[in-house]
Amino acid sequence: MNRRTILRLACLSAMIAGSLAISCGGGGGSGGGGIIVPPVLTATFTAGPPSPAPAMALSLEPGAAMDADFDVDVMVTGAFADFFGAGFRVTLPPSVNFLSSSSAGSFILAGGAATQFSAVLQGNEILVVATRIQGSGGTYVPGVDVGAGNSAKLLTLSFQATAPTTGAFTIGAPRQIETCNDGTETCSAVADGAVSWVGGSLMAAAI
Amino acid sequence: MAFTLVLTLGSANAATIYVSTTGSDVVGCGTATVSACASIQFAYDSEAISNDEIRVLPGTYNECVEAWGFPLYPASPPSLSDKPVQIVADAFVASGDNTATTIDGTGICDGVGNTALPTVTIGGTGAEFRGFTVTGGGRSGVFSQGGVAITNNLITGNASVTGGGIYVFAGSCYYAGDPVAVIADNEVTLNTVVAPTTGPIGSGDGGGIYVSAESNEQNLTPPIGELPCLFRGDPDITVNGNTVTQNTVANTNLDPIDGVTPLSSFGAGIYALTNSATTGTSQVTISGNSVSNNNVLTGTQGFGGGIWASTFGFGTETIEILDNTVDSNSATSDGGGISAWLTQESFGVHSFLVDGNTVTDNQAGGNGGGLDLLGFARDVGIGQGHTYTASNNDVTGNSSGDFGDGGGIAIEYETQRTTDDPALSHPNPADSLGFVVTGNNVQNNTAGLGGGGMIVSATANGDPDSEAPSCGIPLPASIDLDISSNLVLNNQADGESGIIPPIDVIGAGILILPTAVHTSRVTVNVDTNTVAGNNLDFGFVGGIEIQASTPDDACIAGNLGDVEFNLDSNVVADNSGVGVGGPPPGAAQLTVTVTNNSVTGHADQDYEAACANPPCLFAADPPPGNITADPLLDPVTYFPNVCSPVFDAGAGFFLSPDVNADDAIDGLDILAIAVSNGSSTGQPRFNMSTDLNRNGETDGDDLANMASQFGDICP
Repeated sequence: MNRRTILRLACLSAMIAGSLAISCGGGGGSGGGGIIVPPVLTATFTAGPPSPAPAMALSLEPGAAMDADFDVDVMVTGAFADFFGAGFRVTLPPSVNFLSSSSAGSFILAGGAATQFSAVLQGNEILVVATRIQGSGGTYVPGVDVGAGNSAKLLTLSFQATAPTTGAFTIGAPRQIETCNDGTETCSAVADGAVSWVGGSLMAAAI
Repeated sequence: MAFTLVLTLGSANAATIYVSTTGSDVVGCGTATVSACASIQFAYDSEAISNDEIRVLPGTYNECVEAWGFPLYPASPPSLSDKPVQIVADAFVASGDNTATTIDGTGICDGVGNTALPTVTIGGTGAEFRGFTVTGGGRSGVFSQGGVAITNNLITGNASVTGGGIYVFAGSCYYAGDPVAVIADNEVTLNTVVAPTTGPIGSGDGGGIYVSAESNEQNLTPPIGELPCLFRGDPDITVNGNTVTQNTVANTNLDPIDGVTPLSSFGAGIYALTNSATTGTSQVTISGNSVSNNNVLTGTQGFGGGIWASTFGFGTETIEILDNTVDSNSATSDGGGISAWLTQESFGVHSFLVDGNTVTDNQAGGNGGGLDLLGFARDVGIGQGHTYTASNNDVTGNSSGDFGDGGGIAIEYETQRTTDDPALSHPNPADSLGFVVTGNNVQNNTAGLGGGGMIVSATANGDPDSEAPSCGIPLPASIDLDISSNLVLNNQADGESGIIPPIDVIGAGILILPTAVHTSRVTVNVDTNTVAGNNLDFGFVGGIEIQASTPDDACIAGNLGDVEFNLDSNVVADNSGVGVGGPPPGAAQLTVTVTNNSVTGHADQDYEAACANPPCLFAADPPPGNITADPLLDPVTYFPNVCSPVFDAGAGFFLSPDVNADDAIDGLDILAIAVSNGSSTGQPRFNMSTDLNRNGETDGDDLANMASQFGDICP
């Protein structure tokens, strides 16, 4: 293997590690004409299967994306009556870093209820909770209705692919959805089998 | 006898009377700033009527103001011209500056070549004193009686025999209604109290602030020589948001009877007393104050370097000491930081709450470097009872005396029957009186002797007269002590090795001394505490020590009391010496129940099951139903890790935020709190397993606790 090949392999390795500013060059000889654009890692998240998500589902849907960074919107598909909160785990494929979570625009903020959003990485799982909080002093807070055929955003999870990869995002146990009925002022867990927990898949490639 | 009240009512449109250093004390002065009076006293005496405002313009006023606001006695017949006024500094109103307007009694009433008087005396219902600097008083800076508001002043450099900076007597005899006094947002600093050594000698209390809430019985026909009490009201005093620093008390007097016993002084920073007649109610709330560097001077037997407060009377009395910051104060006797005493007799109903205070780096010459908590009930009956709770206090870095106990907290609790005469005491003795110590953080305190973190001494004595030959009829006298959910960490008990015989240290973490005399009962419940890292220089038990006593009675031999010691669900780890122990019960009637504890990591025994004179306190190490496993305490919070073996799903409650016990703090645990939030015991949504701090309700504190551990998973 000649020294030029060794250098090119080293440059490619640096690119994969994220040092995209390195221009690895190519062609023959130094001083060659033209600007060399290094390959960019681009991540594409695809929802499902099934897609679209069925009724009474909590699903992972593609959000905003740029290059290796991509968002996954956690959506709730109706008909869900009195949706109060959800706790679940998302298993990640290899070569994906979890960056952050965002509650902006979440439908469970409706009515100004206090809420709790948390997402923390443990190994290759993210423990997630997004829920309304019952009121202080015993004030009752009902859940939020998501009508049939409607889809509402619960929260957004942000990721970064770190290498070319394909893999699945799955929503696993323990997982639970709570509802709080405004008529009876009682709360209860939705049976796990009554909910469709729909994940997605990632493809990240250098383009 | 019917009594006609003659009251001077305030005008619906209260006037403002101006005072200026450039003014003139002439009749009619003060209607405008340009025609201001020259002195506050003239404005009060000549121009003000009830509820007027005396607005004082910036400058220094060398005078001692008397604005009593109610009639002084003796006066025959008494005049009820009540003239309370508001004395307000204009500069404070304009810009919040309380240093621009000074009332200075130096050379006039400071007691140097003149009669010692307060710089400002103000009284009467609805009176107010606000926004001044007050100095040079010889008998307090601000002296007050009645329902007065004293706010936003700087009170400094005053002296007195009692109440150096501020003296408040909210008694009820001389004005109608319930006196409500507020002492708020003042800075009270560098004031001195020295008990007089000649004439009527007093105790010399309250270096910074002295408050007394007295509810007296109306008495219009007093005995000859006594003053009448015209009204009966229930006083309520609030001491809130003040900064009380560098005040002192001193007292060199001896008891005139024996000539030997030193008289005591109380409260170098703040002194507070409730004292009510049988049908009266009095209340004092001390909250949100910063109390620091106040000292009982050497040579004085003094209690309560920062705060001293006590109930005292026969009525319904309440004292609350809440959310204060108390640091670097000193007492020569007990209570370097706070001394809080509940003293109740016969028909009184008293309650005391010491909650949420931060008590640091205080020094006691006696017991209780941080907190000195005393509960005393004599001849108290069923239905009266009292409650004493010390909860959620941070007690750190305090020290008791070289021969004192309780570096952090010293608790002494006693109930007595002194007579079975129904004319002198309640006919039915109280079934049980209670003291609750819960949720306190007690760390890094030092005791000269025992109880580096905490000492709890409880005595129940149901024998009205234990001395032969006049033996009384014994009646039940019981005590229930609850010591729960406290964090007692890294405290030190020194012991005394330099004397002969050397004094061993006992109970570097918690020392418990229950005594039940003659058919009485003391029950001590110690549960869900974490006692770890406590150290003794030399001695035996570094964690929790109990020494029970059931002494015999001189009248009826062999009729001993009972002590019950219940130790449940505690974590006692890594203390020096023995984890949990005490001397063999011997002849004492002691019942020990120990369940669900994790005691581990002690160089000697974890549970003291081997001793020189068996049977020992415990039959085995560990006793059945207890463990010696590592509790896996978090190195910062000392809370057991979610994987800790101390969490047992079979126990009746959970402290772990792993509500569903699946070895993870995850979304399902958060959901459990989310749907229970805001509910309390007995309500449909309440879930006991989400009440992490066991206060009977699921609230933001539990959620915050769980959220802080969200994501913890056992391997």
